[in-house]
This record gives sequence, C-alpha cells and structure tokens, in this order.
Amino acid sequence: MNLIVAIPSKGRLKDRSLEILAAAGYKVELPEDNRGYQGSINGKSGVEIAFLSASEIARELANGNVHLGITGEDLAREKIADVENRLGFALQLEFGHADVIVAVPDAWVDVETMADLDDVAAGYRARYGRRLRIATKYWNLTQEFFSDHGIAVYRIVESLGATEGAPAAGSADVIVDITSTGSTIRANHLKILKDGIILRSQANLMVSKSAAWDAENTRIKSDLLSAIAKNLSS
Amino acid sequence: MTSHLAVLKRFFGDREFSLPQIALLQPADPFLDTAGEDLRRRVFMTRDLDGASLCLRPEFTIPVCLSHLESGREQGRYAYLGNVFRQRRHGPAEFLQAGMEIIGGEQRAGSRESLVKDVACVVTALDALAHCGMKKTRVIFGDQAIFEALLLALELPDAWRARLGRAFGDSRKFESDLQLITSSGPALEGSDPELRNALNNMDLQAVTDWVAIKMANANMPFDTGRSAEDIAERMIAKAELAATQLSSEQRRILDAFLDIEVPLASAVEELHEFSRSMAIDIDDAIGTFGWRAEQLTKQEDKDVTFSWRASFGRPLDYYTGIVFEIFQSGSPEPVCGGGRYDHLMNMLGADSEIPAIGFSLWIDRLPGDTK
Repeated sequence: MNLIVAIPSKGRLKDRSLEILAAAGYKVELPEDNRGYQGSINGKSGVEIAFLSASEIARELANGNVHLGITGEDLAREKIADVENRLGFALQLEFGHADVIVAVPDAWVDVETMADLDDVAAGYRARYGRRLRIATKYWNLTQEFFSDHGIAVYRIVESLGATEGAPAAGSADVIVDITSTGSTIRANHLKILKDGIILRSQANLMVSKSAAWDAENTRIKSDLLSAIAKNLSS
Repeated sequence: MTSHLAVLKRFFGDREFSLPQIALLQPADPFLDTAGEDLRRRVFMTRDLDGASLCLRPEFTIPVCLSHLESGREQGRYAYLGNVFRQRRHGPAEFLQAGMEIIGGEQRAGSRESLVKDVACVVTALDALAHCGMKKTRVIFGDQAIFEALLLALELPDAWRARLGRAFGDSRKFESDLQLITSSGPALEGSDPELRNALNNMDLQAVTDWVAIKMANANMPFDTGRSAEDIAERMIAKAELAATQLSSEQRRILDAFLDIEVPLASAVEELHEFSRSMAIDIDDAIGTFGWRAEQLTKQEDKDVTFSWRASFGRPLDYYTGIVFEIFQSGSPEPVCGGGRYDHLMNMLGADSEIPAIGFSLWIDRLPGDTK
C-alpha cells in the first residue's frame, strides 16, 4: 500500500503545502484535469497525494485512512477526541498562523481575565434569567478551556460564520473564534481576554498513529519529514 | 443486577414512593442549562427533525424534578430505576441507577424540617443498600452551609465570598481562586484616563456613561444581557477590591478549616475547638450542623461509620446544604451519592424556590447479585 499524504484541496493552505513539499524535493504532480482529488510525487514511487478539505484531513488521519496530512492544529484539536493518542504533530510548518481566542465586548471594562468571566457567568442566570451565551464553532476547544478554568455554567450558541458579529446581533454575549491579527476582533468592538488564548495554531504536518505503517511507508515518512524539516530550518 | 432492581423496586414501592415515567430520550436544554455546557461532552446528544437538541437521559434527578413541576403538586416523594447513558473513558456508557427525590413541602434551608429530611434521606439510602445486601458501609458527609458561614464570619468582600463559595468542592479551582485573591493586582492599569478618573472618584454615573458610549459605538443591544450600569457596578466593586488582599491569617483559617476530616460524632466538638482557636463566630451554623450530626450519629453501628470532611462539596450552583457519599468499606468508588439541592427547581422554571433532597445509587457497583 502506498503512503498517502493528505493536503488541503483549496486556497492558501493548499498553495503553501505544495510549495513546502516542492521545496523539500517532493514536487506534487497535479491530476491532468486539475479537478481530481489525487496527485503523485514527481520521481518518487510509493507516495500518493490526496486533496481533502482541511477538516476532513484531521478526521482521515485520526481514522488511519491517510498516513500523513497537512492541516491546522486548531482543526485537529477541535475535531478529534483524544487527539494526542491518535495523531502526532510532527512538524510545525510556519504558515497558517491563527489563534483561537476568547473575546468579550469592549464595553465590558470590568472583564479582563477568565476569572472575571467566571464571576460574570456565575451571576448571569440570577440576573438575566439565562446562562451566559458563547458563540463559537469550536465546541470542544471551548468546553475544554472553560472547564480548565472551572467555568461550567454557560451555553454555547452554534455559529456557522461571522462569529464576531454575534454580540452586536444579540445572539451571544461573548465569542470563541479564530484570529490571526486581531483586527476583525477590534473592528467588531471586542477585546481578547488577557489569558484568553486557547490555542496558538498553525499548519502542522501530522502523522496518523493508526494508519498501516509497514517498513516501506515508515522509511518514506522519515525521508519526507527530514527533508521538510531541513528545509524549514534553513 | 436484575435482582437488585427487583429488590429496590419493591423497597421504594413499600415506602410509597411514586415512580414517575421518565422517557429515555430527553430534551437536552434542562441538563445543559443547569449542569452546564461541560455536560455536553458526557451525554449522548441527537437532534429531532426541527433541530431541537435531545439526549439520552444522563441521570434522573432533573427529569424527576421536571415531572414534579408539570404535575403542579406542592410536594412529592419520587423514586426511579433504570438505565442512564454517559460517555465515559472507562466502563460501559449505559448503566443502571436507582434513587429517590423528596421535593417541596416544609423543608426550608436550615429549618428543623429540612434537617429531619436530610437525616431521612441518608437513612433511606443506607436502608436501600442494606436491602441489596450491603452491610458494611462508610459514609462521608460535606456541608456547603457551614463553609458559607465561615466565609461570612471571615468578613470577606462579597465578590470573593461568592467566588470561593462557588469553588467549594473543586480543590483545583479553589486553589487557583485563592491565588488570585491573594495576589490581586492593579485593576486600572492601561485604562482610558477618563475612565480611570471616574473610577478613582468611585463615580458610578460617570463609569456607566463611559460604558454606555462604548456599547453604543459597538451597536450592542441594550435590552439583553449586561447593562452599562451592571458593568459599571462590577467595575467599581473590582476597583475597590484591587487595594484589598486576603490576609495570611484569613488564608490560614481557610486552609485549617478545609483540612478537617473527623468522625461525624466528634465533628461538633472539633468545630467548636476550631472556631475558638481561630476566634471566629460560626456558632449558629454549628448549631444547625450539630443537631443533624447528632441525629445521624444515632444511626451509626459497628457496620456503618460516618465521617465529615470539611472540603467535601459539589461545585454546582444548585447544591445548598448537606452532601454525602456512601462507600462499601474498602472501596474507593461510591455506591451512592446524595445531597440537598434547594436551587435546582428554581433553575428548572419553578416560580419560587422549592427545596429538595435526594440520592442515587450506582447499581453496578453494588456487591454481587442477591438472587
């Protein structure tokens, strides 16, 4: 069985992934019609490229259907339960930087830390007849982070886009979202809590722990990883 | 297992508990609203065609409370038996629970009636376990009320009292909250000069105005959630607290209290000794605690031992008084957990506070089948 490397099927993540592979001597041959979802590596046998959506990559790695994959750490940690036992975060690829953060309205001058938010959340029901609402698409990261801060009493409002607009729209009180520069957060009159950085994410080359690792695949993987690592550090 | 179930069904039936029908599939909101979003990771969720969240029942107390509310009755004694479903790292996700809830009636927190019901609840739990063939037991008690009394006696600022009261029973959170209080730093650093000025003057109106402008700039809704005044009030309270610190003496008293673990029979003596040596007045709370402890101690015999652990509580905001866990002697996992939850009915939609107490049994942890 060939070693399968999954890379994002579109956008900047795809372009940067192809660049990094090419720079390491693994030039990806795109399918001829340019719409297919499989590729190969020029001059290397035994390696296949699978183009998948960024969140599918995390899932396929976890299920062992692909051997290696490039995707955001945020997606892997959000989508995969017990992630440390199922994936190895082999290489940080120095692109796709984004932080998953907790942000509250700028007008909440009294809330600067998670401890402040804990205080506010605790009093919410008694004062406003409902729990504090958090808009996010990061259900799992939010629950883990809040639980680590001892905050249990809040409700998540599922957000499928434009999360940063939820407080102004009145559909949530605070948000957990991804940001790279913080400008969208500021533009929406929100602020990031001082200790509200849940994850500093970037694109990672990940290794599936449950894929079929025969001697040949293991060798190809080691070569590929060291070629990319060498290239990143130079 | 089946015979434990049969025994318990008969046990509750003989004592005239009603057995409400509790559906396997439950609306998820009441669980998530009360126990918190954290529960979502531990329940099996699904959705109906309209998109409403449902879950397999993760426990019985909340559905029993809801069915009590629906019945419109003033008080009720309920029992339940059946499977519950929880996502767990170890052990099967589906397991049996049985238990009872006593809801409503005369049992205001701290009243004699409430203490009588506290004792009755523990006695019923022990009795139920004995019927299942479990004779040698160890019971550990905790009490939120006496801890709250200590916080009051220490004359801590309201915000800290609320924070520590919430963390009671969660030692990790408690410790981090204590750290926070012990090292409260300047709250005003980096803030806008106009705001800083308003805060220095403790000018609620000026701070409110400042916040209201921020809210208007952000187009934030004024009619839902925190108002400018709420935010300003908390900001001023916080600014006041920035100058205050938990004294090492207060810290020492809290630590000493939370270290106490004694046989229930000597708990009152221990508490008097503690309050004398620390020069704090929690006599009223000791009186209430002591009356109940005395009644409970009468239930002790060579097979049943009671102890009180000062740090034992449940960090959920609907527990209010006594909590207990029952262990088979020599086993680390409780076979029974119970407690008083006077705030829960209110959270589930009751117009006023309806006091309640109950326990549940982990049937699969009970010793071998009796058949």
